[in-house]
Amino acid sequence: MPRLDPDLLTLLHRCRIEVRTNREKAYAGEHRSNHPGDGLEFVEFREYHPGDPIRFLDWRVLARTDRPYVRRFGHETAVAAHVYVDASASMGVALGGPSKLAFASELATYLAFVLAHQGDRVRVSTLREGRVTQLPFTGGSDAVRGLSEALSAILPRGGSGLEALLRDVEVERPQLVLLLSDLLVEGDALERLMRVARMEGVDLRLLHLLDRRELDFDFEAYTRFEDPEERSFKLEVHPRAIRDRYLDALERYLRRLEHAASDQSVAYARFATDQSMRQAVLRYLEEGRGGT
Amino acid sequence: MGLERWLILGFLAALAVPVLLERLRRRRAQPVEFPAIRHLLREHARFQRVLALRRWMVLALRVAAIGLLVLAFARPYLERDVRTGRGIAPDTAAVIVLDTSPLSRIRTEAEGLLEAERKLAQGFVESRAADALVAVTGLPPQGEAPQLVFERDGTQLLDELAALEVEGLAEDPARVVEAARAALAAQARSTREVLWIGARRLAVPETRDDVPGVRVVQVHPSPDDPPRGAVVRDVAVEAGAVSSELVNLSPEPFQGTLAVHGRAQRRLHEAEVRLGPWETTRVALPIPQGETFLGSARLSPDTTLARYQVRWFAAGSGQASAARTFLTRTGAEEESHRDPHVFLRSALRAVGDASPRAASLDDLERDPPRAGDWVFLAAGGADLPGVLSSLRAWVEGGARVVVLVSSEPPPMFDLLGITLVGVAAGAHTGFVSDLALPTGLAACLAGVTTRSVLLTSDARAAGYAVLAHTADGLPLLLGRRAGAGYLAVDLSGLEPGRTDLPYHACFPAWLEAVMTHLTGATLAPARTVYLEGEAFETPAEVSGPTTLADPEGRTRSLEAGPLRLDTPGVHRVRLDDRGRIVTWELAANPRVDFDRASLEWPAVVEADEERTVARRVDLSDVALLLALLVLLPEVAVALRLGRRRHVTGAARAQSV
Repeated sequence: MPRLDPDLLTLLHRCRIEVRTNREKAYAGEHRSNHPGDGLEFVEFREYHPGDPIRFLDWRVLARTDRPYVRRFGHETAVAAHVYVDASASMGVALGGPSKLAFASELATYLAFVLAHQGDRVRVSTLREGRVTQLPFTGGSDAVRGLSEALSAILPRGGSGLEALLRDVEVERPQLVLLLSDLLVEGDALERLMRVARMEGVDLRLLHLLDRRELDFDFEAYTRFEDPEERSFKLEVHPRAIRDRYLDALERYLRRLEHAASDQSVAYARFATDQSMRQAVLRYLEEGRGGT
Repeated sequence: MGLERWLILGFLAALAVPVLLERLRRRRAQPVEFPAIRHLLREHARFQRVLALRRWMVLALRVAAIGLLVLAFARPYLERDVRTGRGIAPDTAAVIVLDTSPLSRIRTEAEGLLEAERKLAQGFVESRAADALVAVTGLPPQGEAPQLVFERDGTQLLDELAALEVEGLAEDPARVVEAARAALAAQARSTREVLWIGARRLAVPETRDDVPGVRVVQVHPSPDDPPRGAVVRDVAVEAGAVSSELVNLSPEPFQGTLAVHGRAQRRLHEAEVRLGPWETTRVALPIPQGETFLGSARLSPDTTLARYQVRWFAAGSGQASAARTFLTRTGAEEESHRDPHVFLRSALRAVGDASPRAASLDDLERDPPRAGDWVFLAAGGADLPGVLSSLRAWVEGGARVVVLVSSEPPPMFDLLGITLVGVAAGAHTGFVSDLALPTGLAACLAGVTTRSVLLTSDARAAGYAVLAHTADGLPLLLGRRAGAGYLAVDLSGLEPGRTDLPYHACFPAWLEAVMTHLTGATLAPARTVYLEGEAFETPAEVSGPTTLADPEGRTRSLEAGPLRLDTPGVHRVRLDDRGRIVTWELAANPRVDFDRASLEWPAVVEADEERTVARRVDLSDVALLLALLVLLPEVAVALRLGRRRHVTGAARAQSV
């Protein structure tokens, strides 16, 4: 079980994850609603339009400027944030460093802690063999450790089950979705997920995890490459002979992924499993605050 | 199995190394679970053929690189220091016999055989035990016994070795070895050895019962770089047959044919010759009585390193009055036969005229011909204008000039000029030319009163009288009046592919007829003895200082006279570094088979070997360069120069 970094947890008390959504939520929380109403927190002045409630008219401004302005107030809402960790077999492969699943589990724990700390309703689930499995998490410090233990106990198996994630999102309609995965999915499930998220106003964030050796492909000896999810997929080749072509293909794929995410207003971030967790978390929170 | 075959096996094994490594590597493929395999599979499917082709090309390049490296550093044989191979043990008496026959002039890749023999013998001498008795000798002149002086002093032995030279007519080495064996029998030593150092394997027993305790050890001077090929030695024309001794100098079996041709390349007899390693054999081919023949030997057509061809001709009827042996390489042989000067001079000698007095124009310039002398000038067309003034002077001086024009005809006006010079001088001037008939006819017509002879292969002659014909009745020499002059035309020319006239017995008679025609008088009897270094007989008796000339026109004066040439025989011949005759001595010997082949061929071998070595070095350089070019990319890959590249996106591991 990975040990959580207490310093990092301390630092994360001051961090927030902003959610971009135009969907009103029923629960109070840290996130400011886009719908002004009868909340307590002043938001802005706006010129009076006929039909505005007269009780919001700012008499002082009217007296001073002779122009009618109304005060607008907002109320704070709690966001439903779902964190999905891909626990398919491909995530369990470690080509030298930690496995992608281990990295994703630790990263998901810290991000769940941030979300819980800012008052959102956090749900952490794993995706494995076409099923979404929810993990117990209440949001406290002890819950963070429990979550970490639960995640580390997950054994990678089967496919990623992105279809199940899609169904879960359609049913639960969370406002924020964090997907930690290597995104090795067949078909158009990923594109559909991004499209649905956009249509439903879900703030979908893709955290793409790649092994360093997947990025560099620095194999030397004659190798038999095997697919961890589909054993019949194998290839015997000299890595040097195909390295350039593989790197070209990977680069094209990553660029296509970035463009697709950008088109669907989906936040996309890529992580290499050999980078430091502290740096990965802090940079993500710093750069990902405003969304894409 | 010889050493070189092991080397070939090793070479093939080295070529197989990349293939084996490739197989081994495939067998030991490391299994790796790789999540992004779909990218790999997709790219592999797209470029499967390219990748397979590239893999095979890389494999082929690796094999080629190793092959080129092997070629670059290949030598025909491994070098080995033979001097360290053995020494002369204590309490030993030894006679070291070196082959100093003309065969030892063979040049191998590194050095001449005699030099190799000398070095080997020096090694024996220097590594001998202190109490060893050693004598050193070469092959003495024919008929002489070796002078064996047993020494303990190495300096004297080394001096003796350094003084050894090639003997033109050396004694049979087997006899020398047996003489040394007999001399050793008298030495009181526990070990007695005759060390024969020569390229030839002698047919002498290692031990003999009548000389117990004396052993003959045969050592090749250059075992890893032996001379290749076989040579024909000792060609002798006997009654009814021509016999040749063939020596295989190669450690490999040898195959070839000996043939005797009649007129117009008609093959009379042929013999297949097979020689084992180092074997010597004698082959006799019958000659029909009265037949004129041309003998040839084509040896070892399957051997690329050595391919000799031997030709000789004899004019006579089995009882050879003249025989000539040429030993040349294929190609060079053709050139030598195209030199009609040689045949013409030989025929002149047979006719009984004097030998040429000079071999070159420079010699003639220094010592111009006198009145009554015949000058046969073999010159190309391009040379003639330069010698016109000389010709005029000679003709005006009373010399009779025959211009032998070879393949390149001179300009018409030059011919006319020479003719007119002759006319003006009132001399008879003839042309033996190979010109086309109309050109020669015009020259003759311009000559007006000059009698001319035209040698041509043009058969369009008509209206001519037959002046001479062969023994078969074939017309050879035609004649007709041309203006005020007279034109004689030979139909055959001197082209060896069309005629063997120069080899034919009628050739001297034909020439005599030509000269009679030109001079209007019979030729004077011989006054100068001409020696060719062949089997010959002469009834002449000469005393006092005499000029001798070899067949190439080189003259030598002997001051040692008086000589009795009614018993001519070559007693001793000395050669210069290029295998040419320098001096010879005559002794009482009514008949001599002068082995001209063994005198000539080392120089030929030397030249050709040098070319071979040069070519091999060039190929080695190219092979090395190619190997380096092929290997450089491999080295670059091995140093992982190609690892600089990474996925662009991965450089910034995280993007939001």
